[in-house]
Amino acid sequence: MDEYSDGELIERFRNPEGNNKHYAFNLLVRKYQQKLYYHIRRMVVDHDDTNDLLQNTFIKVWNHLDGFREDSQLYTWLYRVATNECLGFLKQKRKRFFLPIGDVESELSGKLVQNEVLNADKLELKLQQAILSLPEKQRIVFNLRYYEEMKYEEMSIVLGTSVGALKASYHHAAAKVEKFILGN
Amino acid sequence: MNPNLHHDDELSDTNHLQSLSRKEPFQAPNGYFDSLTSNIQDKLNHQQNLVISSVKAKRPVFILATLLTVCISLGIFFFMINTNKTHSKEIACTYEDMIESGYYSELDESALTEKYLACQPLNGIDDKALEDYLINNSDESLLTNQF
Repeated sequence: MDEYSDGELIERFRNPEGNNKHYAFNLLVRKYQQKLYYHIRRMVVDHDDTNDLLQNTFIKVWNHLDGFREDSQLYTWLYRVATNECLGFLKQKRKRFFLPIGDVESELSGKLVQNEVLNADKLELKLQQAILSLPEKQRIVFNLRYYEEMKYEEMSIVLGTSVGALKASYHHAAAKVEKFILGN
Repeated sequence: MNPNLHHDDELSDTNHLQSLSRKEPFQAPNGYFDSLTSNIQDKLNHQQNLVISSVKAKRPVFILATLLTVCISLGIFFFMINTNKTHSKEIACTYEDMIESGYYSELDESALTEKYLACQPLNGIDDKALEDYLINNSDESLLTNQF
């Protein structure tokens, strides 16, 4: 399959030839599904939750892509939508069960241990537990930088935070993770 | 500058993190990504059907609301017309209408007579002088015809 540029995908979606809007959207989904899946999965751990959130993300993209102003790249906008979905989901979870933040993280950590599809040895399992011990936004920063090597400028658009604050956040997160691994 | 080099610099004081491979820790179920597009399309179709069916389901409510609005508007319209008619009738009230209404029966008749006499230009002239005036100044043939 030829991979279209983001601009071409948006153009095809907005000005479809015949009834090809769905086709253009499917191309967009195929291009970004794996990246967004793993981004969400690292936040919520559970596959079923990830699946729901990923589908909701793409449905929001379908509903709002016509109004996307292209001030930012499509790629950062998609990450922003997915990130907001994750944060909303975790917030809702805390509210629904009247849980403090720590309880949600320990629940996610518990899922991590039970998770049979986790591609990890013991040290990597520790790393995931350490990442889950981070505050939500710090965790997003760490994941985007550590696993996806996203530039701070792009991360700044995704999270609406200054580059300086993101650098500091990543530095603190890395130090906490290191400390957690050493401590365990 | 190689961004990964820069990235490694950031982790220079975190040896354990540096030693770990950055491979993806999670794995999606087999075939998950193959069916994702069709699952999303199904959800989109379902969403569109929901919108259409909710509009259909709400149609009787819309009709009732429209009818109610029309009734209220007509009611207000006719009420305003009747109010205007009553008002203009009051303005066009004639002398006969006033007599019929008995408005004059409430007046003090003796007071009115006194007032009337006080306004008469002939007030103060005695009957003899009046009689002489009429005899001297009126046409006799006209008087005969009159009686």
